[in-house]
Parts: sequence; C-alpha cells; structure tokens
Amino acid sequence: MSETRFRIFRYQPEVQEAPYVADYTLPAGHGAVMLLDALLLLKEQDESLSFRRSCREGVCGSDAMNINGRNGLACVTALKDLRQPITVRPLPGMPVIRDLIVDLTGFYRQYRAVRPWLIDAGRVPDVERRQSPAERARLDGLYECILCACCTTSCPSFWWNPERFLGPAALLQAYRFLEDSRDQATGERLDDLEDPYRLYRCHTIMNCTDVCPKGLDPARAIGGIKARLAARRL
Amino acid sequence: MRLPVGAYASILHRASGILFLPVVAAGLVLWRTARTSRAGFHAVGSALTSPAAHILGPLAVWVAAQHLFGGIRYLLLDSDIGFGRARSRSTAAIVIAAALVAAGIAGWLWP
Repeated sequence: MSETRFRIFRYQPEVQEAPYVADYTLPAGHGAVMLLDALLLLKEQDESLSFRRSCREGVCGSDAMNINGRNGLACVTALKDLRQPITVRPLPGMPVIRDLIVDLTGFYRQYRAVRPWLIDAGRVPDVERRQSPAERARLDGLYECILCACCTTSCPSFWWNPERFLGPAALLQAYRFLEDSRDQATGERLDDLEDPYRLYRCHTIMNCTDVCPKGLDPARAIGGIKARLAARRL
Repeated sequence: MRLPVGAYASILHRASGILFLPVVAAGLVLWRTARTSRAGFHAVGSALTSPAAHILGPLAVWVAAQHLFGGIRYLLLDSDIGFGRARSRSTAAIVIAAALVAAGIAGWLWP
C-alpha cells in the first residue's frame, strides 16, 4: 500500500482565531483499511487531533464527519474508495467544539421536540403491547436510525433554519411513531408537525437520503408525514 | 460540500422558476405585439430570427423545460413515486438531461 495523504480541518476555538487545514501523510504499508483506522494512526502522530469515535462498526454514529465533501461515518468508509488527498471536515452547519467535533445540541433539541417515545395514556397492560407482524413491518426502515446527524447536517433547509426546521433525522423519528400501531398520539403529533417551518421547510432536495450511512430514506418518511396531513385535510 | 445530483436538480428547479417569470413576460409581450398589427407581426418575426434569438430562444426553452420536468418529478415524489437513493439520483439526472436535450432540439430547429 502506498502512502496516503490527508487534509484535515483543525480548529481549537479557545486558542485559535481561525480554523485551518492541516496536511498529514501516512507512510506506505500503514495497514489502515477504514478512514477511522487512519485517523487513529494520525492521532498517534499528532495527539492534539480530536474526533469522536466509539463502536468503530457503524452502530453508534459517533464518528460522523464530512469526508471528501460528503457526510459519512469514518468507521465504515474504506480508504480505497476515497480520492486523495482525503479531505476531512466536521459536519457542516454545526458549531465546532474542536477539530472534527461539533456541538450537536441543536440536533438533539429537534429530536426531542418530536417526542420520540411511545405515547399511550391508557392503562398499563398486564402483558407487553402487542403488534401483528404486519404492524411491526411498518417500522422497518424507520427505527434503524443511529442519530449520527449525517442527514440533518447535509440538508440545506436545516442549514438555513436550524432553529425552526426539525430536520430529516427528527422527522424520520416523527414518522416512526406515527406509523407505530401502539402509539395513541397520532393526532397530537400531526398537529405539532403541521407548521410551515417544522415540516414544510423540506423541499425534497434529498441530500438526506443520499448520505444516510444506514441506507434509510428520511425524504420518503417526510413525504409520508405530508401525505398523512393531506389525508387528514381531505 | 459535494452536492449529489438531486441537489443540483433542486437548485436548477428553483433557478429556472425565477427565470421563468421574465421568459413568460417576454413571451406575452411578443404575442401581444404580433397581434397588434401587420407591422408588429413582422417585427416579432424578425426579432425571433435575429442572432440574439438563436441564443435566447433555446435558453427560454431550457428554462421552461427544466422547470416543467423538475416539477413533474416533484409531483411524482409527492405521489410516493421515485424515492430511494438510486431512483432519486437517476430521476434527477434524467430531468437535467431532458431539459438540455429540449434546449438542444430548440436550438437545432430554431428558424
């Protein structure tokens, strides 16, 4: 394996006035297969390089970053698929805490706003809340979201209205609970979503679907919410 | 940020929507002038065969085609047709290519 070149966004807001891009090189035969492996090797060269990571297998969503201009998870992005120099930046549109670490407070605030839990005001059942296999199958493609924020931070509508537009990840979760046969708050959820900004800032650009590392389709889920709202009007 | 082809289709849909307004206005002015008198009709005829019209005409066709095809794509998406990564990419590319083909045909056939 030949040497691998990187251009990595660096910024420490407490001590640096402006961000910059630093060049790094891993020597031939470094052995890294995925981008996260390479970043860990680079961190051995320069221990001040900062990024989040945890499970290293595309489950936790911690190492979401902008890789050669496209959001993705470093741990499931193969080096051999990337054009060099590999440019790594933090997720776009979010305040940088340090280097590749961004502040996701706004993202989680929008996630909480859709009340991503089962709402059932009735009596707690003696047994589990049951679903038929068909009802359960309606949640496929919705529940697998790992909240990595790749979709929301690639959405131009979210860049422009991060305070008011919920963003694709939160809307995917909103639809997940609208589709859940056990949830009793469909009407309230739709009332909350029927808003020119919270939902209808989505202009079906579909960057979200394009970047989702789990292969989910938030744009379709948002379309599903719009269809439910339209059906309710009719 | 590297944008996917769907993002370009979205940007072009909005840009062509803005450009569509002066295109429609110019079309209405030409139509009214051509209906006013025989001289007006000939003036519009010579304007449409001028060198500038050979550029502006196909450009106007591109604007209309881009907005129309893009709009059809969005209507189909609203009907739950065309979602998914591969499909959305291919339909976006088809919309952009079809509008360019329409403009090319207009340029080829322009008198």
